[in-house]
Amino acid sequence: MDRIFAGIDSGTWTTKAVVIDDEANLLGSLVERTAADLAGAATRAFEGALQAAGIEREACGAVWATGFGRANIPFADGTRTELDCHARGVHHHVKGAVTIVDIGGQDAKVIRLDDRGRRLSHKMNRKCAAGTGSFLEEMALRLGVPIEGFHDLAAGFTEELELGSFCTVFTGTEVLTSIRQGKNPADLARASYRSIVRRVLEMDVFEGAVVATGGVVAHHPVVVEMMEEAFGGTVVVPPHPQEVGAFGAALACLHEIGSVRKGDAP
Amino acid sequence: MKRRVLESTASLKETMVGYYLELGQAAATKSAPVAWCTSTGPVEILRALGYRVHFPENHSSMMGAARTANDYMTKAHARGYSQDICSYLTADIGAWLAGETPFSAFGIDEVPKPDVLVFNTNQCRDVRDWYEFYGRTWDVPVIGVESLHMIETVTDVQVDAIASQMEDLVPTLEEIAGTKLTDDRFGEILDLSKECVDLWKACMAMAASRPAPLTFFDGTIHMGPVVTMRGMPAANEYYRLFLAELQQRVDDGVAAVEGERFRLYWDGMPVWGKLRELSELFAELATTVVASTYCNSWIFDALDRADPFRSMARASLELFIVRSDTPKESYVEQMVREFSVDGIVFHDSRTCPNNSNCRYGMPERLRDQLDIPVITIEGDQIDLRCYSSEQTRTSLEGFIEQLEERGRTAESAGG
Amino acid sequence: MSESNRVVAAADVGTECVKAVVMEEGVGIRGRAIVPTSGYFQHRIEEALDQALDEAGITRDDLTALTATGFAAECVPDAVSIAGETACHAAGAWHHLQQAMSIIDIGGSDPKVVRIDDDGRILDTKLVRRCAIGIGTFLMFTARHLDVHPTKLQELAAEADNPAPIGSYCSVFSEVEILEQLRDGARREDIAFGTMRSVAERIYEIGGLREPVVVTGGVAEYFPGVLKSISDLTGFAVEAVPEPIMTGALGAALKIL
Repeated sequence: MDRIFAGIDSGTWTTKAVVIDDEANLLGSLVERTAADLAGAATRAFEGALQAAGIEREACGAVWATGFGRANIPFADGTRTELDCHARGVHHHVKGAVTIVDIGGQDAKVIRLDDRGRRLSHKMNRKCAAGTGSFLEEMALRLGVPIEGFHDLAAGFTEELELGSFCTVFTGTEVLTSIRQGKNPADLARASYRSIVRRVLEMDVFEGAVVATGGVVAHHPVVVEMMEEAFGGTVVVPPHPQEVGAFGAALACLHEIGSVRKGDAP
Repeated sequence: MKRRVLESTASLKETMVGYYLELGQAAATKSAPVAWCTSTGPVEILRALGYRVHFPENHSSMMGAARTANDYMTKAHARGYSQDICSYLTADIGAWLAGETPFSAFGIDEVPKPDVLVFNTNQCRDVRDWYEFYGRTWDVPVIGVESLHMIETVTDVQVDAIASQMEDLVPTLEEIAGTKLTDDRFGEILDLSKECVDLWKACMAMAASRPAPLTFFDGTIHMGPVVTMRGMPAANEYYRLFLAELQQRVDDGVAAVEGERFRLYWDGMPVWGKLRELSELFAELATTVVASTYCNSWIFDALDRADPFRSMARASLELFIVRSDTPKESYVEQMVREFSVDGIVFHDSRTCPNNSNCRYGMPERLRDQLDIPVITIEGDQIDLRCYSSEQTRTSLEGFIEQLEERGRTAESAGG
Repeated sequence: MSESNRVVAAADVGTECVKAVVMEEGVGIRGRAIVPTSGYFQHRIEEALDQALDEAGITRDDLTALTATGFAAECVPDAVSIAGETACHAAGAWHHLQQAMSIIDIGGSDPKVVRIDDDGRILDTKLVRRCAIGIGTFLMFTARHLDVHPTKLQELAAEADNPAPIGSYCSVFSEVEILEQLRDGARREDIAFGTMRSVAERIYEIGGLREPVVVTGGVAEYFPGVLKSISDLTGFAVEAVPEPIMTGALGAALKIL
């Protein structure tokens, strides 16, 4: 029988779980809101992913965790940083040297891989520019629309507005000022996306193949278009971009123990 | 995998407490003149004139290590000293406003009041602003040396410019001390000071051994005497003992970090309030931080009794902090080779721009020139509001994973 | 209502709430309303004014004049004047206490310290540093992370044993600190209190406080823990004015009454 592995990415906003087989096929996944109980969210996400895969808990060989709460998941058999997991997850789907841009709830990361998928460098956003996904949530709240409707709102833009990218608090005030001036909410929604993209652009030099991952990319595809415009090239989005970290954790599991056990097996 | 504690630490404490008590007593009983001096300032002149010397930077780093600094800074901010300027300054002034000092642990209830404050702006302008506050508060003279910066190669003209400023300090310092500077005494102090920095340099060089017998974090603790006691025989006694212990560790193959796999260079200030956390994190990762710009900043090779003022001036201009990026980069390159370094950590210290060498593209240049992984972490020397444990941990763990992969591929390529 | 009395209304349009008062000459406040700010200010302003007029039992036509203050004062239609926030808070606080004092105005954003003399004239004004502008909003976000209604954050904080160290001067940094505290098992009560203490520190750092110290604005209304912490830091008695959240609107109304 196939051996099963799972990965959990415990992020600040959402917890992602992924279940794979020993050929790295994705069998099931689930995204849960993290809230205050990291372990609880991880359990719910894991159980949900198992259910989606139609797999019993006992059949799962090992679970590895990554992300903000990786050390808080009592049932995890191992941990890796999200830098490692995003690298693994992306390299599985996109071969060759790439630059990964991961945009999560609280931070953005840029990870460079060589043609064999080895990490060359990583950068995290400046502390001041923290709050990426959470920034969009705050802007949606300010504009009085649910976050689910934010992307559609931005699609109806009429004018390109400029918002700062240095600090989300400053940018938040700019948005309020624009609302006061009666600016179009659609234009402000689009400017909020552009502010996030600019923050990412300030982090590194982007050359060659660029891959985007993370919850923001998954739910707000306009961010990818804006990045393409800025880089003047294609930005590849792997399947299930929000779950890439969790997928990478499951792959780490498979690579690190799967192969050893495989060798041990008769 | 764990950190090993150095046995000399007990003697270190004794040595430092001895120094603090002598200083505290001089201030309390007026038995000797008291000067405040910047940590890379002209301390040898002061000692030769019989001053007991207090180093406010040391005082602030103690508050940082005790994690009390942030309690005090707000008081200085409320007086108009910004959150963006040196946190050593804001913590120290804040503590004074609060009427508290970490010296109370040694029974010294107030910071030793100076008869004169002596700066060298080779570090930054903030040291002078810091001293001016106390100069105004106590109506005490603030004198010193205005340094040169961004030096490519140290020239005689530059040395003269600094040496003459140092000589100009003497009449004022003599008058306050009520004594004359003699060649003999000055020469003796310079000899002691030179021996001290040579011993310190030898201690730091021990970490070139594999495995390293000490870490950067040990260095930040054991540097107390070389920062505050140059020119005092007790400092040299201590470093002879410390050096012997390190040599013994090297001879016995004892590692500071068990199972040392990776060796890093640290550029920038320590994060005083997180020394333990970071040192434990690196130990967990079986990684030794073997060398640093910071600990090496108290090596003054040029000191020479034959030409006291000019040699002091030269030593202060040869310091890393006053150099342009080209000599800085050559220095780091040399360290990377001598200490067999696998990666470089840059600490971007929010309120200490002059010790944050990552802000003008140096990490990227070194990465490309030396083919070495680099990482920058954000923080501050003592203002913990600027430091995120979470972000730092993830970034450093991720960095070590990157070194692992690099090592693995190198192995498979080699085998 | 006597025919001869002037009746005025004022709207204080802040970043978190729109406050409206209806005042009658010689009588005082007759109606008031607080509406959370969201989306377009104009809509919330209409709601707030309508509610306050309803409470007063009058209509728009009965008003002698309407004035506006606050972040989005210019969004108030038909306002005869726009009054500066600082002046309105000073006027509102002086109306209650009629003495020289330091006023701390803490609303959704831009907290400030205003000192006035015995006659209510402004001596000086100091703003919080730019990184800490979003203090009131930060408390709202904390409530969200702790999963309580903002007005319940104070109750939570009252149960704190060991306030969590939330130290950042920047509300973005602090939000991450809160998440880390939660992850590392800190009690919600302690985080709630720690957050309030952190706000108090930012206020204290503005400097320039002299006794007596009073507090105006929405934070004083909903998060009195902040006042206690400011008092602990300064050693001064720190009291809220009556109905602190209405101070700006009250001051604005007084100016045209």
